[in-house]
Amino acid sequence: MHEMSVIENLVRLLKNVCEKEKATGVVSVQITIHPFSCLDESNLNFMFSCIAGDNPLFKGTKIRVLRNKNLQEPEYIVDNVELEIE
Amino acid sequence: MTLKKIEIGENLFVKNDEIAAENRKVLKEHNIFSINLMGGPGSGKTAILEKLIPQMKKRKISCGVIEGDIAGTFDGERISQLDVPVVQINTGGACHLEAMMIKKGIENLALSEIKLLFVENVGNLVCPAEFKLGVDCNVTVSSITEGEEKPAKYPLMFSISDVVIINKIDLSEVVGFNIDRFTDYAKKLKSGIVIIPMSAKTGENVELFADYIEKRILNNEKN
Repeated sequence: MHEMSVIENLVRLLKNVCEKEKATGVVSVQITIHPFSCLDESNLNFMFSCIAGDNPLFKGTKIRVLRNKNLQEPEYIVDNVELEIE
Repeated sequence: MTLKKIEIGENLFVKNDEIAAENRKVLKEHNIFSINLMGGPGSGKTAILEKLIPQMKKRKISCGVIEGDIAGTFDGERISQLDVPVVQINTGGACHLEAMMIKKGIENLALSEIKLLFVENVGNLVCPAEFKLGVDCNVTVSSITEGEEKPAKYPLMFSISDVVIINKIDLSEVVGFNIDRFTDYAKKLKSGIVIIPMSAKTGENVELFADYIEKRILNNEKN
């Protein structure tokens, strides 16, 4: 239900990373969330492709969502990104 | 063309959390105790405030309210009848309040006149739990008409709450509600959770919540 907020913040973060690394594309992103957090991986990927898919950086980007039992508070940690570098 | 994996380890909502920390700092500087009041639509959040705020005023604890709704000023108007500073926020679509909205709310309140700030969140048992606002205390309202399995069905909301108010107990005979089951589910998620069965309609047990808040304010002042 708050996939929009997640995607807005994710796009901003990924654009910064791409600029820093001079990347031409984002292949994948891994996000870790609280076990009770409400984020559906397939919904998120679908919405991401709808909202950000026009940007060549994000064509085909796959987002993986893992749940970490050790997180005490709701958090959305971007663990890593896989980039295409020319 | 090469592939490169970069470790990030960054919280996506770092900006929200930074603003939440700023909110907390501003409220602390003004010696204001704050409560994030959450619960499903129609659970009785505004009705509880309508009974609670006059009680806090009697205890010489001045209140302020930030009202959050997707649309409309209904709740803000109800609270303004209590003659306390109130700001109505309309999210225009977001199903939860975020720290920036609270920052704007705080900027529109006369903080020197407030000792206790209520943030009434958007009616929703899901998303509000995910967004830090910078408050001292999380309270969730769950009415008996919503059933006793709510904590098990919405674990995040209850696991981050300091207090659960079981509202509408005046309807117990009509509705039927197994309070022991509800309590078990809630305590499994957070063993120290405080549970207050209440009726905002009749006013039953509202003073227990007022007692809890007063104690928290005193403890805050000691630290």
